[in-house]
Amino acid sequence: MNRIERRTFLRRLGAVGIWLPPALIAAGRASGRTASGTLVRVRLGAVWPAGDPDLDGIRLGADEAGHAARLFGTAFVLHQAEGDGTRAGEAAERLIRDHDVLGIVGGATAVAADAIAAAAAAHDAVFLNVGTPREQLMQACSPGTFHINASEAMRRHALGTVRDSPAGAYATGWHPSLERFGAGQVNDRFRRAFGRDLSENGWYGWIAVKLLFDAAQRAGTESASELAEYLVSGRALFDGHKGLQLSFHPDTRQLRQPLYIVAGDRVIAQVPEASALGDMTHAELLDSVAGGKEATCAG
Amino acid sequence: MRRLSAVIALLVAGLAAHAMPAAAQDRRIYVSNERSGDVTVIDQQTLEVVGRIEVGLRPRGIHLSPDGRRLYVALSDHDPFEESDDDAIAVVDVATNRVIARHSAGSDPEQFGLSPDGRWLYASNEDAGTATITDLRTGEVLATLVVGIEPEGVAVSPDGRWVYVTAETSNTVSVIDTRINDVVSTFLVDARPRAAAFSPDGNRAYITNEISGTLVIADATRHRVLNSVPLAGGRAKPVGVVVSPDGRRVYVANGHAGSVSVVEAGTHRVVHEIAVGRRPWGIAISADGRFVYTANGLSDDMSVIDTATNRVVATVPAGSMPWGVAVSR
Repeated sequence: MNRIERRTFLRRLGAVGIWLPPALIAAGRASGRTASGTLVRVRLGAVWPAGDPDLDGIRLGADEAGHAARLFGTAFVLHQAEGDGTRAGEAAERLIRDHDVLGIVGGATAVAADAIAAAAAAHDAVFLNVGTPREQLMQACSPGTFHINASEAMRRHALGTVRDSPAGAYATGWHPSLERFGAGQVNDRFRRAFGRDLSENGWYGWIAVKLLFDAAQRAGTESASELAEYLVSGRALFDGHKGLQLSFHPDTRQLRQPLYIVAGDRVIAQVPEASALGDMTHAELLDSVAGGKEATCAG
Repeated sequence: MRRLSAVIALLVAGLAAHAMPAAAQDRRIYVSNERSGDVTVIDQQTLEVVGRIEVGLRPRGIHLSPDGRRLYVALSDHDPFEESDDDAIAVVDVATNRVIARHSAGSDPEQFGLSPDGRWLYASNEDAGTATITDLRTGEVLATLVVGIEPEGVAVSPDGRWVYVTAETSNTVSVIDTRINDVVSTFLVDARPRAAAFSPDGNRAYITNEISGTLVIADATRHRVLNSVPLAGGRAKPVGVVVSPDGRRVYVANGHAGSVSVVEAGTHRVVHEIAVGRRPWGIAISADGRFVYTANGLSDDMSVIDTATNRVVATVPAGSMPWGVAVSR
């Protein structure tokens, strides 16, 4: 009997994934790709304060990207660095310089996000800001900086579309009670791995690693600038278990995504609903309802 | 004279065989109902509901054995991580409409495929991230293989050599070589692949991708993507897929779009979009290719499409939240 349980496999690997089949790395130096056409290696970095529970979303994303990489015969590495405030920029520079990472996930605070954005722009890496709404950043429009965290404009628009929303209602990018579109599976996997609920920032971290790995494979590049071009090309469509195609707005580099209206710790609405598509594309629907076109970087 | 007698005897025997009605169970359609925990039995000729089989919790994937004598239904409990007695493949004797056995197929089995000889069952285990191979002669699990994250659709090639397992979170198809019962290749498809089907000649595989709203067409001899076809202008939520017996057309159940797309296999063009019931997921085609059936999860019914006219010619009530559909061959 050939019995291998995936969860056992994940437990053995530990928290943050590093998958380095030596033979494949050697092959990668020669060809850059596996026989199936996928990249031989994907190197990402994460800059986040140690001990912050939101880091666990990034860790789940790394586990799962590592699992997918193993299926492709690809090496996946997520280098993790501790860093808060302005020191986050130094940590990002070290990841780029010492480990040649293609992209960095981070931005636990506005100061950290600005510092990482500046480092990524100076050293040719893609930065996915998962922790801070873009309006709070000085460096929101830095080349190569993409925003996973929902902007404040998106949150205002989403909340404004719900009539008679109760006092205290708020808009969020994720909630642990979500079930539809496979959301329940992600929530369950996170609970299983970490023994608590997946938070909003935890989901941002998870999807950031997932989509960076996916995009690197599909774009077939180890170049940060080519990866950044791919992310806004219109071909980069992602599933985040929200029922609509997630994509980046080409001007703001803001992730288009549905939001949820929560009142009394209960989700009372999704904005927009997938059923509202009509004749629109997913991007058009998300732009029209979620305010994705506001505050562009143009000019 | 003796030769003439023999010819007459053969003719009489042939006529008798032709005139003899097929057994009732040879002309049935079976719809699994996820919420009501049963299977609706429908007469293929009259489209009347002729029975209901209680099978257990959350029946979803459903297939008939190649000889048509057994109906297999995937059941699962409400805890996706723990395997319990409620996680099983129910075996129904179609002559009596009774559950005669329950086989283990790992935790939370959802979709599965059968080998052409009817001996092996390949099931996806969504939350365990595995595919389980069960020997239907003994009911024993032969192997549990690691596949992509959130495995879902399972398809077996017509010659039984390859099993494709889609995985929704990793956007992958894992390829199992049944000669060694191991995963030998994995390839990327579009966002959230749900189901797969092979062409009758085994050269092509068709994979539905729910979030990208596309049908991926793959070279099933090299396990590589050839093309990606947008369905319903990219607004479809495709799930089930079936290929006509002549291999010329591919029918895709578009889920929340409430329609079936008809794709020409030769040109990869969408040639028809047919409105059906609400949220069609499961889809099947009659042995002669004349009718396509969809299990409509939110309208609690089954649509019948005449493939000659590409119109819905009947809607048949089913149980609560229909999921899959199987047709006598």
